[in-house]
Amino acid sequence: MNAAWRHDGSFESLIALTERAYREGRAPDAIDTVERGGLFGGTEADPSILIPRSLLSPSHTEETEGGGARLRIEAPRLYGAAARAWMSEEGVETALLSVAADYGKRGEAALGDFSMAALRTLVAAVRRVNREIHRLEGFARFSPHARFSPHGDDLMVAVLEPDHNILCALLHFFVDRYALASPEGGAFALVDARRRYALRAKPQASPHGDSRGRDISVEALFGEDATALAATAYGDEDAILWKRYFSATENPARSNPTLQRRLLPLRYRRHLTETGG
Amino acid sequence: MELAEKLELLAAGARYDASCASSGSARTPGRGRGIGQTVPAGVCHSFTGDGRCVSLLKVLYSNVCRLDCAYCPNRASNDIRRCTFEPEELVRLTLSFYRRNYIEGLFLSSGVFADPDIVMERIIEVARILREREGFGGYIHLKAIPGCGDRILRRAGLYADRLSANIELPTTASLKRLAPEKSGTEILTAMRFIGEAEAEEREDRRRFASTPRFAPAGQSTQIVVGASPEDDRTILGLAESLYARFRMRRVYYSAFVPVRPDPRLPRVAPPLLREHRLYQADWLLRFYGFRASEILEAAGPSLAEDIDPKSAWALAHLEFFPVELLSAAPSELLRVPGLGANSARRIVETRRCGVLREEDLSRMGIVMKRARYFLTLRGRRLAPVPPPALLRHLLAERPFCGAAAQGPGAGQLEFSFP
Repeated sequence: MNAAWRHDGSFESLIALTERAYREGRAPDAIDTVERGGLFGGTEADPSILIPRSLLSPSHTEETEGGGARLRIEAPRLYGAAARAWMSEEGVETALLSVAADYGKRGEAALGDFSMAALRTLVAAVRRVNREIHRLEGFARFSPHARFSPHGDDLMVAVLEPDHNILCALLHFFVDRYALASPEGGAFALVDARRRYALRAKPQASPHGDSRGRDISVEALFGEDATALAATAYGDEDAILWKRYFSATENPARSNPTLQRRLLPLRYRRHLTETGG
Repeated sequence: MELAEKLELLAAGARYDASCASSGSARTPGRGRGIGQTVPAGVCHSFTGDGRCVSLLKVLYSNVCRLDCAYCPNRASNDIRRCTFEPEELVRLTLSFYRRNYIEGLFLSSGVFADPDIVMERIIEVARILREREGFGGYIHLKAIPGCGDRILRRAGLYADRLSANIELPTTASLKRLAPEKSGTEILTAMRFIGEAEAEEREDRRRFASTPRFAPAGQSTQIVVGASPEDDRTILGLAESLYARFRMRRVYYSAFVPVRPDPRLPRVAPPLLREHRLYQADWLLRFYGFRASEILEAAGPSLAEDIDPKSAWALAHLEFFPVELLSAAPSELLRVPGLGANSARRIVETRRCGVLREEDLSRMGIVMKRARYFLTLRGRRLAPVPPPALLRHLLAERPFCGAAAQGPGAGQLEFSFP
């Protein structure tokens, strides 16, 4: 008999359970999941559930992730899948732990055996999350937002409504993209309007000159603070130039709205500068 | 002229260039100054009304051109408003659009308003300011102006992620007829130089890691389809040769759009379906191990309209099938209509690690609708094979709703297991 394992909904908790299943080579009979109360009910979101603790406090690594650091080194693909499973919010924990247990017994072969239903479920969720991350890496639109800037310089704000809780993954992408500017000028914020929270990043130059090792100060905003950031973001002259550029690239002789709708689903267009954002 | 007007005119002048990718280069963030990076898969930032990816700020440096190519909207004899960017204007647009995440970088082409060396120098100057003064680490695609010197082209490659010289028309005869001032030899010379410089840089890099990168995303080119009478056999043969001879990363096909009547040009634009079929065939050349002669041996001089090139090949080679799922090599699986690279990989992984069952195939994400007529599992056919005419009907696609001006999946991430 393999008793229920408790999962509090946080990233660290799921990573710890994954590591346990991997290490013990067995999955639980059931997962006792704590309700994510308030997340979608309009009340304040719980930071411990929405954001990996290590993101806000880089010193939290080994302690907060339990065996997560070991898992990341010993089974990086499994760790990546666990992270995506957590972001998905699709309730694929059972499939994840089943795959993790199988991985503990069979190693990499467990990630190639698509005859296993658990692996198929997990991979489908991972693919959906990856697709959403990749799309929003392109579809995020930043506008300057002076009010929240820490030093009075422009803070660039992007408002998103992702299907999955992927802000932390996007943050890493945009840190690499922007951070490298002068340390004073690279501040930006990502607002998840659906989950009503935001991450504000202020990159700082690394003493080693290495992008991966750069110090980043990340701050989380919740509820009213986050939505206020979204509500007061504004367009500017460059946004107008971009709209005119986009119109000029249209080629009526090749018009194909069906294809455009497939590649650029309507749900993303609300926040795109060129389509009415 | 105001910047916004210039932007509109020079973007409209560049919109017939099909190239839009920001892939193939992995430029890491700068160190302490400037912004930008490139990622190997590239990023699409928007999609235009025809479904083309918007990844780069694609503009002409100038639409002033002394050449009079019949198919080109910027031809010298066309009565359009002419203008030229100042380098600083382009730098400002690129940086501000990049910061707002509208683009991955800059695609810069130009009309030939002066000697090719001078035009190329102007284009390079924009890239130089972006890279050296602004520390810009985003993607830069520069058009190589045929006829410019090797030394200048080499400089361009040091700033650009990708270079491209458009071959435009499939044969010298057509080039002579429609673009008499262009020289096919000059275009091929530029391609050869870029290919050799890239190979040279790769060789040097093995010995000296500090060797400056030369166009890390390689080179691409474009063929205008339907402006001249060449058939698909000629076009695909040319594409195959360009891939092999010049280390071409990508050949783009752009269906001719009549802009101004000209007795040398067809009055009607070719169907976009032709362009689509060429991209499908090109995909087979690059990733599925097909040769142009194989594809066209089945299709005749032109690719079939009703079915895709792989299905056409399969119908003409029924003796190759059925393919046994448990023992077929990946290259054989890739020949099965409906099976793509991901499906083939999953089949191979699963049969190595576990038990492959028929009922699992569709659950694995493998689309069996067409593939089932060509496969066996443990010696048993997955579907009875209908007579050839009916099979062709079953393999036929729905009426064209437009896939891939840029090819299947192009510029998008290959979603693999992390």
